[in-house]
Amino acid sequence: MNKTVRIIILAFLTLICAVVLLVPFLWTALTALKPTPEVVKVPPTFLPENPTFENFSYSWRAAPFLLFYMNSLIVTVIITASVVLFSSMAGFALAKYQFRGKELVFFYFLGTMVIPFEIIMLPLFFFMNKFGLVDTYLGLILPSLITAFGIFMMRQFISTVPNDLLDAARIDGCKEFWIFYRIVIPLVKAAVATLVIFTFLANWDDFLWPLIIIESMKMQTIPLGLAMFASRFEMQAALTWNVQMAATLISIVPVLIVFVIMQRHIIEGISFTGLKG
Amino acid sequence: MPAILFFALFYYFPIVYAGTMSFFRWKIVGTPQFLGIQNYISILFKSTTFRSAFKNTVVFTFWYVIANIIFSLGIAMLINSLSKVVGVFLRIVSFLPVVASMVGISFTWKWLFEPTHGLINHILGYIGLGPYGWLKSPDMALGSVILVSVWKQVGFFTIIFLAGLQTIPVMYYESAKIDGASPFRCFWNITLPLLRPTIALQIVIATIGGFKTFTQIFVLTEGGPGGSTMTTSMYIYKTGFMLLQMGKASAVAFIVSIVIITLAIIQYRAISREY
Repeated sequence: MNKTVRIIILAFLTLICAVVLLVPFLWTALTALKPTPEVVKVPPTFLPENPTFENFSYSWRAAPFLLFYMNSLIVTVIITASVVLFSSMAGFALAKYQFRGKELVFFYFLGTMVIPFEIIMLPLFFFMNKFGLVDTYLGLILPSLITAFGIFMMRQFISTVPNDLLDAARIDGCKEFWIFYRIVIPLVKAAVATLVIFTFLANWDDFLWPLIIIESMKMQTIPLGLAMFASRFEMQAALTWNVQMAATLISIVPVLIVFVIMQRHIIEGISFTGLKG
Repeated sequence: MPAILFFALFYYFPIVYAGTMSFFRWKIVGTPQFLGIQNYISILFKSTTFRSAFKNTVVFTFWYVIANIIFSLGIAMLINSLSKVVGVFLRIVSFLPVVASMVGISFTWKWLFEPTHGLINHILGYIGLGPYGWLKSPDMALGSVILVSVWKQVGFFTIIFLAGLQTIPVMYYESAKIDGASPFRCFWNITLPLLRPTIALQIVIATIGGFKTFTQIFVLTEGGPGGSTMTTSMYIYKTGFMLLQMGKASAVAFIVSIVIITLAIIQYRAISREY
């Protein structure tokens, strides 16, 4: 197979992949720019004939997207910080210390990882209900504050820190916590960064749990808010996809931008753990 | 000092997890009657909705896993063969769907699939393929949902395969080429065997993910039309939170979880033995 043919085939394949992967995004944007009379046209137009921003302004006014963003941000940041903090501590403890019942703790954590969310979501809801935590920030974040996944990942990476280093620090009179903070953490920075990314992404987009625990409008996170907002339009018989697409765009664009900027680190982090894991 | 660390851990886990686990054993939550657990289990086995939901879930997961693995491996190999710039571009592009919000993207696809106004039917119309019902058609709905799910997650698996591919020493391929091996044989005899553990791990991850699928189904079809996209997670949600039959929902959740765990264990064992 000579070089030119090869290049053509590769180019073709790449083009197809890129198109398939990108078109939905483009279409969202294009649709969002169309005024309502144009959206209902059959057959549909490709480029908007009369592009307008009215869908965006309408969405922005009709639903408190800023509030949704704030909620999502607060919740996700707290969860991420907590997960990373506690996972590191737990991972550290599991990797570097010997204590009675260590095996037990290990398997306990492992067990929680195996249990799918589906079992616990119902009893969890009751639990929250009992304590009046439904529709609160606390109720929203509590179940996600620690993940076994995070613990194991940190344990994995922390165990690569040479013990001699820690012992030397101890001999010098360093307190345990400082050992953790000053020595171990900087050494596993890559793992920490990866965990941050993973956790952030997973929780930002979490839908099922917020769906269960949140009722009021002002507590909605982005995924929830968007779903609620957009499905409202489906109830009304009118075909208002342009507004829905505008709302969707509002919801997904910031994350996409952040991703594109940070993509190298994100992707490296994931493949890094994917191999080790 | 270690004690401080431990206490931090132990505070949360028991509260959140252990507490809830003790709850689920009851399976009578919702109605304050101590109905026999057996009651619920037998209901489940007689319920056709459950069985069709389960069947849907299995079908979904099956195709989800296969499509994901095949496409992601393909894309990964494609990226590997491309020049650096184009490769990075495709890498970013393939991961974009993964990062996008599932809810938002589901709405986009819902719109794309729209029978009269959607882009997909429109474009197919140009090639002369008739308008399809996609999400509105009982026959195609599940397939459509699978399509969306795979589209979204492919990038994730691709990245991991990429990393795996890059650990295969180029030497192998070079010496194979010297021996006159065709690209196909290179793939079959070098790439595949060396990627086996990665493939296996991806399969397990994808299977678990497939069973847990909820968000896109909720947005795209809510289990319809005619129950054709009703999967177990959707079923649990509906039974528990819409019909408020908590006990029944708990029982279903329990059963499904056992299935997931069992599958994961089986798959994991199968992998380890290959080595």
